Amino acid sequence: MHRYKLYFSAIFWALVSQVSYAQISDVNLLLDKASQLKLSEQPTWLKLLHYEKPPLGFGASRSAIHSDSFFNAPTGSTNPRAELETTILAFFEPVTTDANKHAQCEFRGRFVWLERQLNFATSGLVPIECPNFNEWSLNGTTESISIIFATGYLGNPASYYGHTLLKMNSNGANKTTKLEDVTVNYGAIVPPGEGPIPYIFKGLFGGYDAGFTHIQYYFHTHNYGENELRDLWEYELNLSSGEVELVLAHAWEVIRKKYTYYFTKRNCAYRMAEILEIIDDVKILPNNSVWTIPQALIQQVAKAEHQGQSLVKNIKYHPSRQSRLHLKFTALNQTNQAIVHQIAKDINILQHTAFTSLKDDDKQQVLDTLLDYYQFIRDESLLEEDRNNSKYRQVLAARYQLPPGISTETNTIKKPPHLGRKPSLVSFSNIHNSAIGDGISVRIRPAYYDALDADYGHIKNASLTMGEAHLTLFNDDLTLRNLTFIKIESVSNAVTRLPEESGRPWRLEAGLEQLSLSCQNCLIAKIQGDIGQTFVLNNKLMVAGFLGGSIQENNQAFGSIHLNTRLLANIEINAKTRVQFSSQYREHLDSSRSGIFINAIRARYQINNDMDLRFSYEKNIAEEITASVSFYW
Amino acid sequence: MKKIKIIAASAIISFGVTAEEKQVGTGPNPFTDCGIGAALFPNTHWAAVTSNVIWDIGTTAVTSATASPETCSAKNVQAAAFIYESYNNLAEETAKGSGEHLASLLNILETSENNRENIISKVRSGMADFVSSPDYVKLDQVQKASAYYNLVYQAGSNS
Repeated sequence: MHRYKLYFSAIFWALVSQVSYAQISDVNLLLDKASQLKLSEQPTWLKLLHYEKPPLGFGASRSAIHSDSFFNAPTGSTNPRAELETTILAFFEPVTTDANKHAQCEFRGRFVWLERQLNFATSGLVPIECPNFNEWSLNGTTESISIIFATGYLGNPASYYGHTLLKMNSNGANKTTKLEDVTVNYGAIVPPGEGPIPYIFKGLFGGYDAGFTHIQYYFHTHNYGENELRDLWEYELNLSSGEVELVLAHAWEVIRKKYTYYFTKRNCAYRMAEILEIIDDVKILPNNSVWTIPQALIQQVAKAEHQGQSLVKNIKYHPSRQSRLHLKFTALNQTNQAIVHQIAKDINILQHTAFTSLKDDDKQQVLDTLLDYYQFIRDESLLEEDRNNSKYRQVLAARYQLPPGISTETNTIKKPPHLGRKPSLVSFSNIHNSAIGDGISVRIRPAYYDALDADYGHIKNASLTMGEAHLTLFNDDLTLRNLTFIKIESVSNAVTRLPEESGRPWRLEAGLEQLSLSCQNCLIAKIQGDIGQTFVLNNKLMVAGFLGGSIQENNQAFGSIHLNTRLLANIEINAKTRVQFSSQYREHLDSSRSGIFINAIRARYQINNDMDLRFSYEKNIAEEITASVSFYW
Repeated sequence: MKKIKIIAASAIISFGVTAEEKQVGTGPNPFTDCGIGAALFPNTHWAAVTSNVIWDIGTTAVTSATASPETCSAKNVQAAAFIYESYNNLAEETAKGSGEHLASLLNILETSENNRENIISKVRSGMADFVSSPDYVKLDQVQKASAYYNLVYQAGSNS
């Protein structure tokens, strides 16, 4: 019965289009073959249409894309068979004014895949030249595809966990560098003037449209590497030319089509992975139903196999301006490091014999390090108001006075993010509390890291926690110790100890917590913010001071508004062991209670990539000693 | 020093003039003649400068290039956009005599391999004068990028 409907559809279509009747039999043959092969039920066809279950799992599958232009059939977003048949019919349409608008060009991924299933060459279907697609895909010169991972950035909530995008690597005759390569990038479409609070809520709960755009790689190297100081890691994939062709063609047809953006799950990493999973045996999405963390995706990619081989064939590191400064400075000998310090304190040293008597190679190394240093600390938009702009200019001018030449650079690179631990943590503890007695606890942190376990791809000495729950059990009394909505400690790691390198650290913490360690049923809501100063004494020891305030529910006459000062020291004993000392003084501004000290010593020993041991002593009215074992998942 | 002042002055002055009124020798410049200066300064807000947000400056720039086919050819506008985006890298690599950004720019401009060394040398000479002026720090990013474009254009024309 269905076949007769198809024939009728084909004849009707022929009547309304300009297709010759001779082609009707060709169309019918293809529709028949597609039906026999059950192509509309094939996973690849459903992936090409981006069919998925609704976010809450209820209801029928439908396409994640809600642009009408993505479908040929009126019911294409919910009916894969109708979309398949209408797409095949559309492939036979004659070219009108613009070949780029033809279905073979607009739905390039579907065309490439269906051609491989149905062998159009034997059907009489005339292939159309697609100028825009050919130009974009560099006329078939794309030889490989890379996933680019940008490390996390605490300057914007959407970038806390890093970002991923695709880069199409060309081998064209004039393409000798990577900067001109095309990238495909997924992001939310945020209207101008959006404030931070709506931005966060709409990002979390599907309030924004989203989509793929394409742009040259150098826009990203500048934005990430120079502006946001994020390292880029490139994972080049081991794909055949036919697979590269299919991914390119599919990326082309989803560019500028609209999805709904969800920050936690169906985000940049998820949608980018979907484009690659169009290839049959590529499975790179982490098995997690709640969120998709870009670094977890990278870890999955690094261990994935494809056609019996590793999916990744090459890993490259593109250090940020800050990382380049660190690499260059640490590669200098002690004399040159001292001269860099002298010039950073007094730019006139450039004319002093301490600098002018150096050999040209040493001068190049010193000046190149200083260029990175001033690029890192200056605000170019302030023009002459920022004195560092003038110093940068003087260093650059001095560099032009030297003969051309690249100074010697170190090959040392950071450890890649795929070797890091998994993003989530569960911790089991034994506790002795001076006021409550002995107990146990479990702590679950969905993401991401703290100062003790900041790892590859994270920011050393910083902290980023979301959705952490800590439950305690004392004397058969199960209690919520705290629920952290968000906790961020943003610090800059001053490796060179040059002036102004450390930046301005800040803290933000919001959630529910027990009023003190002496109380089991005193849960309060609290938000705290601090700013401070960092002192990096050496690569193993960072000291920071913070001043800030907090607002909380008034409980037991502790008041609602507090002034806080905090001293912090992070010590790296060795590669596996870190210790943190913290001392906070809290003054109660709207209470007669006197201020109190809250002190803590915490230590972590890493057993392996999936496990650690932690010990802590804390005093917040009561004293508490804790021993924990943690697992990463 | 005189040469530098001419370059800097042309970079500053040319923003308010048409192609016909520009100083002799500066040549057509996409920053001033194609509206690319405005295209490169979208009114982005705090969130739009980050990577997880759609940010399509390149397409905007290329689209704006349809007004004047010669100066605003895709090649020239792409070069101008690249210079604007990578100016500091280019200025530093030009001082060093080579680098990835420099090579990319010459690729975009489809400069032959034979001419590259000569062009880099001329641009380096011009840039040495340009950055030696204390007034350099008074120029914004578009002005500096525009001056660099002029140097490359002149070096290419005379090679």
